[in-house]
Amino acid sequence: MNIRRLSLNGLLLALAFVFSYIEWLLPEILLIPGAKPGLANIVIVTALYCVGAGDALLINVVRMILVGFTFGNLTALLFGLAGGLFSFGVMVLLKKTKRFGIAGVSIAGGVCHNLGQLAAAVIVMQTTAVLYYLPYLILLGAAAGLIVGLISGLCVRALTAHGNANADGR
Amino acid sequence: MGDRGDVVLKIAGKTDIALFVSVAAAGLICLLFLKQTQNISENTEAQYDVIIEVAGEEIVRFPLSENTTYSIDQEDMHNLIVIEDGSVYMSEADCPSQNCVRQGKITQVGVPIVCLPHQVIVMIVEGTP
Repeated sequence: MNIRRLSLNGLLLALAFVFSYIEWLLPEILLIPGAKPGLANIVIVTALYCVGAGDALLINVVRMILVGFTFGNLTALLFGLAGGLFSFGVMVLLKKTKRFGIAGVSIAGGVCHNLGQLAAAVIVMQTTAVLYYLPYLILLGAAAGLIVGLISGLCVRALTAHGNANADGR
Repeated sequence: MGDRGDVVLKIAGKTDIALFVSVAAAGLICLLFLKQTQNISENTEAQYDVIIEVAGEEIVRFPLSENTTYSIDQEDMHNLIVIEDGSVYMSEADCPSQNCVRQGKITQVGVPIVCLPHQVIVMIVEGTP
């Protein structure tokens, strides 16, 4: 890892961590107990387009582990990883198809994040009662993903215009 | 944009709009389906029960009409459930997130109160007569 790449990744990680902290401070404004807007995903989606899938995955996993241990607990960490990794995988695949813009990739990521967490909840709780939240999680995930995608799109354009990263994700 | 001759990043196009619309439609269909299953009984004669599940196993069931409290103590994990005037809420839980406590009262069939770290679920179901 060269210095330029290392410092950019470190910067993105710090930024994602700060977003997670801000989110932790925010009161719950959404319908579902524990639902969060996913501000840190602005950094993750931006990273996916600016530093590539490998580095973005590294930033994402380190962020989730740091946040889990700093503001959460083991349960929160495991659910976060279930949602985060599934979402990330789907975003990488959708981006590879080259059929979607950053907004579409992020919408899919938002929805899949929630689906991954819900699937983990069904497995851990051994009950389908939690599926009650499925429609709300789909709708909120899509809305949050759209907003995150649009903001990330502006970030990626701004970053690439200044020659700090590559738009094609290298 | 594109002033450096780079490939301009596509933010949102037709496929993205189509994706958003179809996902939102799927969510709304699920929501309608859910609302339908919630309103199955209009008759006031129906009995409602409160069920409490731990790790997927129903451990106890109370009629919603009777005010009562029920405490679950598993090792170092504590939950206190209160049934009061036709509603149910998690009054105490020593989990870190406190989502279940903050959720407040439920009065509708099918809406679960979930305490993920303790694997506790509380919900109202139609009772067996």
